[in-house]
Amino acid sequence: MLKVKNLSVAYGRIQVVRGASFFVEPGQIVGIVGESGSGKSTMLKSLAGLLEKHGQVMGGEAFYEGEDLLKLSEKRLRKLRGKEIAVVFQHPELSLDPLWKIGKTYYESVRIHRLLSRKEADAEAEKLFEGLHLENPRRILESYPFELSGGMCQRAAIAIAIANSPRLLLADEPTSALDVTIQKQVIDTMLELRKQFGTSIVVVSHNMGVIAAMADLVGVMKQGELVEWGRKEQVLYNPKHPYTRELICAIPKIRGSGLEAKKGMEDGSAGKEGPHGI
Amino acid sequence: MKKVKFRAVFMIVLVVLFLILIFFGKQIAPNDPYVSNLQAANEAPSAQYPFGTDNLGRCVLSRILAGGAASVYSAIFIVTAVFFTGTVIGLVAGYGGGWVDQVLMKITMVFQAFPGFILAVAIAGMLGPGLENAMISLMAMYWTSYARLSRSLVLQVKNETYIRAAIMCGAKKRHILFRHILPNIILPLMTAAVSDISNVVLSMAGLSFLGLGVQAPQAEWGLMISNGRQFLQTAPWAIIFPSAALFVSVVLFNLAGDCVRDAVNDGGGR
Repeated sequence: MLKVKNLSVAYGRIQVVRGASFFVEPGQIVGIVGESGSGKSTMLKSLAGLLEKHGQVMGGEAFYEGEDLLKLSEKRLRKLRGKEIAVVFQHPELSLDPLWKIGKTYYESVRIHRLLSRKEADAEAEKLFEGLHLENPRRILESYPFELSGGMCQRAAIAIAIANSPRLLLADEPTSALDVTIQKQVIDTMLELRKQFGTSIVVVSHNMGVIAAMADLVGVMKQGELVEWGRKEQVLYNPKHPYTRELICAIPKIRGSGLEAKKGMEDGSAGKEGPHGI
Repeated sequence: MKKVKFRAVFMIVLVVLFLILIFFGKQIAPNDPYVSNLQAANEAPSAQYPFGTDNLGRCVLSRILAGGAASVYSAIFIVTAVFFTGTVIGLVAGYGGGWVDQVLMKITMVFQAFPGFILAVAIAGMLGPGLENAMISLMAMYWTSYARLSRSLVLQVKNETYIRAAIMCGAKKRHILFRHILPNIILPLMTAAVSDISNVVLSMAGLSFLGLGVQAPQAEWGLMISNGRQFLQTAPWAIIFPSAALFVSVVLFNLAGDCVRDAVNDGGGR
């Protein structure tokens, strides 16, 4: 479905992505993991044609259904955006127009590709939000972005991104700006997407946990190079590249002491917090 | 918050009352502003002529009321026109970028290279005196600030994530420009416009004072001040009262501009 070959991107004279190659099959979730500045976000942006002015694709190809995304005209890209390929951004509150209610944003993004009335769009949005287990869709549609929590914004943004049922979703650090508990909700929403619509997802994150929870295939990026690529189980449990091993070791772990602490709270300190303390 | 709102409403009411007063100025005027009565020239304020008469025996109060429209309404028209053209030029320059931006900004810089009022005087001088020409010259003087302001605001907004999100939905440039960017930058521009009205009122009066704006015998505040100047010692009311009218209107629009700014800053926090 998406096949990236030898993709290289540079900002000015500095190469940020060097010859990355990977592929996405229909219905697959691909996770790209790497530390800050490893070029993973830049790679994603170049696929969507969203590079900043000084960013430039130096070489390589990215075939989506037989078309090279890197060489498409602005007009053709516009046709694909939203309808075939959608993007979810890192900061949910910032990715929604502050002056528009969620319902309006949904309607406007739907209307670009399809002809339907505001009422139809609202009904459709409500159904979609419900399907993705967002509570109280009516209220969300009637809210401005600043009235919603970060997690709710992100899930609404995801719902809006897939409003035209694109087949490929590019998620740029979709959970990094959120609390851990909220991260889980957003991940669940994206998994639900795949289950219901068969959407392929490329998710970029520096968080190994997020990638482990979602991806089928994992790529590891280091200084612009994709140093490891394979099935999740293989990459996580049997890493070949030393850098991958380092990354996995760097995941903070809570072992026995954590359990004990929890026990302690259950016996003693729970009382202090009241009946609903934990 | 409540106080700011109350003050804003109060100022708006005052401004509207002022505009109505000036709009019906000719009808309200106690005497005909254009009838001269040389026997009553340079008369001190009295019951019949509350603000006295000028050197041709015309009622100063009536002329102030009748002349307000030329000063104030033309200023409002100028600001509106300049607000639209400047904003659109700034939008195109800021969003288009590249050579479009370069060309438009260089043109703006040419206009800004001259001290504002000198430019207006030069253009009005070239076009010849008259209300329309004065208005054109003032527009040439004022549009640049809106172009520059809106351009810089566009540059701030255009890299926001929600603009990228809209692009990623497949939205067209025009759609993004007028439905996402413009609504997000319109408030500071409008604030600038309201505060600019008083400046334009003053500049307009200034041009007329120099003889480049409204022509005699038409009533206009700047022109009246200019005429009254020669009789400052014998008939000071002919210069004091038009100046006071100018002062009041400038202060009024200035305060209104401040109120709008406060209201925007107060409620504008996202």
